[in-house]
Amino acid sequence: MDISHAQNATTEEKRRDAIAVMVDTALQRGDFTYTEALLLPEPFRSHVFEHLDGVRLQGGVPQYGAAQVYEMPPVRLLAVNPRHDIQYSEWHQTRIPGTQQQAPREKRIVKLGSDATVRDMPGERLPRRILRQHGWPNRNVASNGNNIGTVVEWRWLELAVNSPDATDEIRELHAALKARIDAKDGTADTKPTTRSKSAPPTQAQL
Amino acid sequence: MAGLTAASSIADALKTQAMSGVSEAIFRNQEVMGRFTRVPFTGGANLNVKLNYGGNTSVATYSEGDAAGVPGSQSYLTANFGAQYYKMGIQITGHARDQLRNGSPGAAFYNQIELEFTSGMKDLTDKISTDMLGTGLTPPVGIQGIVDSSGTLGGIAPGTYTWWAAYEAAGAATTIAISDLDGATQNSRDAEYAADITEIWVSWKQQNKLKGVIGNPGVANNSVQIQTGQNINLTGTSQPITYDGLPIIPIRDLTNSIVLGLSMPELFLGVMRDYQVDPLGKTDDSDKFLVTCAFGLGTKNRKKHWKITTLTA
Repeated sequence: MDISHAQNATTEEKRRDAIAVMVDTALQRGDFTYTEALLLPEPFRSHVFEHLDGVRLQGGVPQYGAAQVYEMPPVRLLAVNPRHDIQYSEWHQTRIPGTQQQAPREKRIVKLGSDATVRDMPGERLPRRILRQHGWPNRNVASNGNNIGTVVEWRWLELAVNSPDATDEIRELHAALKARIDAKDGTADTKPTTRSKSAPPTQAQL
Repeated sequence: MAGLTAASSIADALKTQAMSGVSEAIFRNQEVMGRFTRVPFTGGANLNVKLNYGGNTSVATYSEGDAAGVPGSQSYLTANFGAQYYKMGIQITGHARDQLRNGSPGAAFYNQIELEFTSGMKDLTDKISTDMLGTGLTPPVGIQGIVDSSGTLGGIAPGTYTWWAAYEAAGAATTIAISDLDGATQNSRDAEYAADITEIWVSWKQQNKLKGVIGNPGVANNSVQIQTGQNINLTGTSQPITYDGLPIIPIRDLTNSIVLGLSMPELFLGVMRDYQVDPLGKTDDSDKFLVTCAFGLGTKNRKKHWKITTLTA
């Protein structure tokens, strides 16, 4: 995505408009990816998501649902390491059996397996959240290499490997993941499972 | 049996006896609210925090003769933190006031009327404190909701604004390890989060787990040490321990499943209404009072904190 128009915009409103046009154009071409959006510098990254989430600012305060909210297609995510699970945390609250009392809310880990096609529901935007926290290569870039992303957006990788400036690293990663996809032949298990307390994930899996 | 015996004869003559005062057999958390800097609301329903999240977009290198280009500007957003109102009602009937002689020590072992107020205030503070240790994202906002990688806080969703999220990671195992603290610290301290953590909050159990890690021979724990005070007591319950110079503070009522790294200057306790006692109008022989207050927890920068989760052992 080319942000030069947005960079040259003379007002904040025009900058947002330029980003909106850029996003819509990429969506129409079919080459919009969250990875590329997450690699954009601020404030452009936030403007992209504001546009997709239908956010307008009123006195500097985000107003959700003020504009069209984009229904995005499911996003296929792959763990770089096939032995690792794509995972995220969510709040859980359960009723204590045999009572009307609620147990305190606590965080639990949800595993999606190493190959998951994740729905991108407005309000939740789970693929975006997973990539923001664990995406490759945006985690590497954002953290100056202190953190290495563990999850790849397959659509982005397909586009990246076909671009003229694709690196050997990209080609190797694409080849490895393509082989995994072909081997599984669409049998990827995307059913969420709650983390078992007896089998916690390693730090590297997160 | 003849004669004066304690077993059967003195009950009529003996006043009911009790030690003076009242012993509290109930835990009321009074340890949380005072940890936050109090900030008064300045009008309106919300305490607003202005966030500068994007820099000047015109910053660039240039070569001789290049055009000046289009000027850029900073980008701002506003987070809104509200307050939660709390109340408590107190009633003292005329009969109770008369028979207690208005709290006179000659008539009662303790001033029950005064205690209704002082203990009731503690109950109110306990409720507020418990809420502040909770997971709320809207009033009552809790510290676990603030220090989280997801969830709309202050009207800002991290799904849209990716910089409005705390660093969060699950523990490598269900038991806290030094590597968990190392991971959270190295990530939150570096440029992306640029956090200056000032305190680590844990449950009492997790604090003792960390003491156990220190005590295990052969465990790499260079970054953790017991503060060299006058006395070090590994079996004590209140000896401060530190991680990389940061105090590890046990907090009662904090869930055992998490460890929080907090930048305290970035947290605030919004005071919409401080504790206020108002007498209510007479409708009978009773004196009635309404105690109210309104507080709201918030943060000036969500990503300046971190959280380790899923610690169950």
